[in-house]
Amino acid sequence: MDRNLQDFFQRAQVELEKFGFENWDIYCTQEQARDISWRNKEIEDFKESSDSGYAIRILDKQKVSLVYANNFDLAKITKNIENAKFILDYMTPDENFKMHGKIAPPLTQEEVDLSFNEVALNKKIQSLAEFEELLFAQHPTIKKIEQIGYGEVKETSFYRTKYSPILEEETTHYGYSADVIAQDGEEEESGSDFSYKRKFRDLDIAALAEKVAYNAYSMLHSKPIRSGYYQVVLKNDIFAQFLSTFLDLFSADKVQNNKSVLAGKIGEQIASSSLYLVDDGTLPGQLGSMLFDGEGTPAQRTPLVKEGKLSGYLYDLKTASKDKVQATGNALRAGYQGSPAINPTNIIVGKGQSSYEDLISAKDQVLVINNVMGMHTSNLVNGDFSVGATGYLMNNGGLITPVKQITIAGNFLQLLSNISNIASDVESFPYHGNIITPSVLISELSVSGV
Amino acid sequence: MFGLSLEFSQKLIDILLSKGGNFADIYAEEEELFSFVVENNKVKAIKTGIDKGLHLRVLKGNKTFSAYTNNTSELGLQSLAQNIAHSLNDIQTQRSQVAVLSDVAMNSLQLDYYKDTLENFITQSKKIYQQSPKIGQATLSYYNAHKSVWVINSNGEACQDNRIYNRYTVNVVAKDGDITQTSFEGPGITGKENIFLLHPLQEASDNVVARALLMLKAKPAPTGKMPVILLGEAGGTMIHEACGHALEADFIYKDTSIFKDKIGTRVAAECVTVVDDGSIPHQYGSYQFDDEGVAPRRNVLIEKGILKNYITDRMNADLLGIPLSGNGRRESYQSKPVPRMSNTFIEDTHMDSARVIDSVAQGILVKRMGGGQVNITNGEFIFEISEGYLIEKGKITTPIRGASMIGNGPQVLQDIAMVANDKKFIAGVCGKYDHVPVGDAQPTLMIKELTIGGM
Repeated sequence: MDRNLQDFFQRAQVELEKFGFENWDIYCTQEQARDISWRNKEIEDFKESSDSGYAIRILDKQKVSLVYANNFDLAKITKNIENAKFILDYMTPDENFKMHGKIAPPLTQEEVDLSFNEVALNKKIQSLAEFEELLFAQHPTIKKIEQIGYGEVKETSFYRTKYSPILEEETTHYGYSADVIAQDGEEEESGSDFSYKRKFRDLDIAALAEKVAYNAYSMLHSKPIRSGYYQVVLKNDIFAQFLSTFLDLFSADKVQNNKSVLAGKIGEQIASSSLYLVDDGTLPGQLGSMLFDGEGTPAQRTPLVKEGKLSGYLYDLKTASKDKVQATGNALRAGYQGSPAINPTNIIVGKGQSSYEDLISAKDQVLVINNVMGMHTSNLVNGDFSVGATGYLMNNGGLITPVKQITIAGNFLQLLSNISNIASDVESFPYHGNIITPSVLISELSVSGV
Repeated sequence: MFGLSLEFSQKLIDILLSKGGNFADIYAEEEELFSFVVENNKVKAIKTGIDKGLHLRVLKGNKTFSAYTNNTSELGLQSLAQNIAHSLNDIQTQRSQVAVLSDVAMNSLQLDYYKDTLENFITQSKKIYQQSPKIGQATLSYYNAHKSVWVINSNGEACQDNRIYNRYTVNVVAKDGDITQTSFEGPGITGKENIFLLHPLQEASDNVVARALLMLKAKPAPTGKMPVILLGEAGGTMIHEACGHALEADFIYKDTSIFKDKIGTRVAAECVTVVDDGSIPHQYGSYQFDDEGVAPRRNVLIEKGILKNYITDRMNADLLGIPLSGNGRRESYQSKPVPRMSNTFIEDTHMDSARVIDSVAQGILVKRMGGGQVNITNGEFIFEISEGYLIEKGKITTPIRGASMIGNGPQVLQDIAMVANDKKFIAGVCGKYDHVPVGDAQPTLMIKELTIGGM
């Protein structure tokens, strides 16, 4: 912790102790980031940032207030704490508001990759030039590159309550993205993908270039197919997007406020008996891992679905108090300005025995979905969805045609119940929660095309 | 600014330009804000924050090299500036010219000041529920921000702008059996005036409640093409969305706007004059200087139907070789400025609004517009009608619900047949990339033909 931050924590503590509140907490984050976008053999946009900020919450007489700032001037800190005290009077009390007392400091964290500082900027810029060449070299139809980007983030977060020491955790992530266009005569299709890792050295631009290009050229000459019910493979990326969209159904906050169809269903069969779903913030090296959440609760492993049966919800301190259970370490902060809110860490789907090739070679026709659009329009309370999609129509393992301009529709829980096979091609996708999942075969899904 | 000396700012600009680039600037900001939400007669949330930050930028043709931070230590800033310069990696260097800047301290929020406001809002909320058992939910919010902005650039220009924003919203959901109607008002102002004197809370609440209850009795809208009257009080969302964005110079430069290469040509009916003006006192989209230090002015975009000007920021004005209009705006120190509207409106004519309304025998009269969406590449738009009426045999009759207006921006500009003299500004927030406050307005006008869609 640098000197300025030490001064901040000290000043905040002195000011907060003047009032004798029952409890309080301080969350603070320091972030450095770089984003480079590349086009036509040169940098198009370069952005670097170094930003920090804090939030202070006060808990007193069953009320909680929150103030935030990124201005660390000592006079402003004092002023802000006075503001927090002022606001407290107006808040609505709730007996379930809780903050931790003593917190055991977490075990030392795993090695942090410091390539943010240690790998020269030149080398990163050079890698974008290589990435561009690799993309063009993938396939003769790749004629245009809309965008290539590199991003890196180094973040340190700090947390303490009135009674705890200051917890500290440093994380990094690095990644590339690209968006290309494949052309064949009048036909034009775009394809994009990205890859983010905790460690710079784990990035593989050659593998990413292959995927991005394939996403574009494999869709050339795609067309709609007939409406009807199809056996469908959701590629790991797409199943990750479905899970990410509907994970709020597992939030205790939504369950307690009657905004989830999973309310009151613990122990009930909600999915195919082959499905296992776990939230695990302790996995080494994963993008969703953390030592402690935004309320200081240590990260942990929480089974959500076991053999298709609902086995748990995700809790913060308030919802856990209401249900008289333990918090699950899922009270995440989105920046320093927001209150902690229930969100997934890493979501792991238990992998199956089959390969991806087995899935797409399933008997008769299989529609493989490789892209969906408009997931956010889904009904997040009951799980209904109707989204645009593209993919490939297969027959006994052979490609019939790439497919576009279709809509797939159904219900998320029905989809989980219709899982008939799970592959072993596990990858991680940093969406809302870091989703670690293989591809899945769905026995039946409604498709509207022509 | 933040105790950064002018000499040091100068030095930073020199570092920024040390490896190339044709322009550099430093943007600094301090902001203190207070906001609250009252829902179901209770305080649902109160938010207060104290933020500051700097954005350093170098422009080189159509490329941007930038950095932002809240760490205003000289060492930290120098290292950021060096990284930016390093990423340019050119040989030519340029030195900045010397600027002069006064240093004015930031106002501090005094929360005691809001005590009465909070209590008034809770009282008002209770009054709303008492008006009818059909009121399902009332949500009231208030927002006050003090923002100081400093800009210094390599042309030797420097300026400061102190902005005060005040806005409140009243949102009501009314229910009758299976029918649900929502209604909304959200006045906003800039400057030191008292918003509750300019826009009384009681009046806004009465309007919202009356509209929600009225719309419960509304009939489903007819669909198809028909003449439409937009009243002055409907607000200028359509002119902002369906016309204004397509006049922003970045879309012109990137060739994604229908108005590219159309300067000097007829793009609207002769009765249509469209203006963007960030210098109007009190309006929600007003400022003394934009976020690149350029003073706003009355910028006539379309004059009597002829396209005259675009909306510019520094980079795109330079790239296109056109004048600066004072529209380089950004949400905060974290974002780069882009061309954005301020207060955008269709100008009044001398015609009385009654004459415009009387011109339609069969059609739709729109008293309030809701949200919408527009595709700036082809100008296609859709807007909800939150309060509308049928016009039958020249008389305003039944309220309609669930209706939307569907059309094409450039086509509508041609199809405006009459414009009155009663424009009224409405506060809003524009969401291009990030969010900035805007105002928009139009007088009562008649559109020969628009598609009305139902639910």
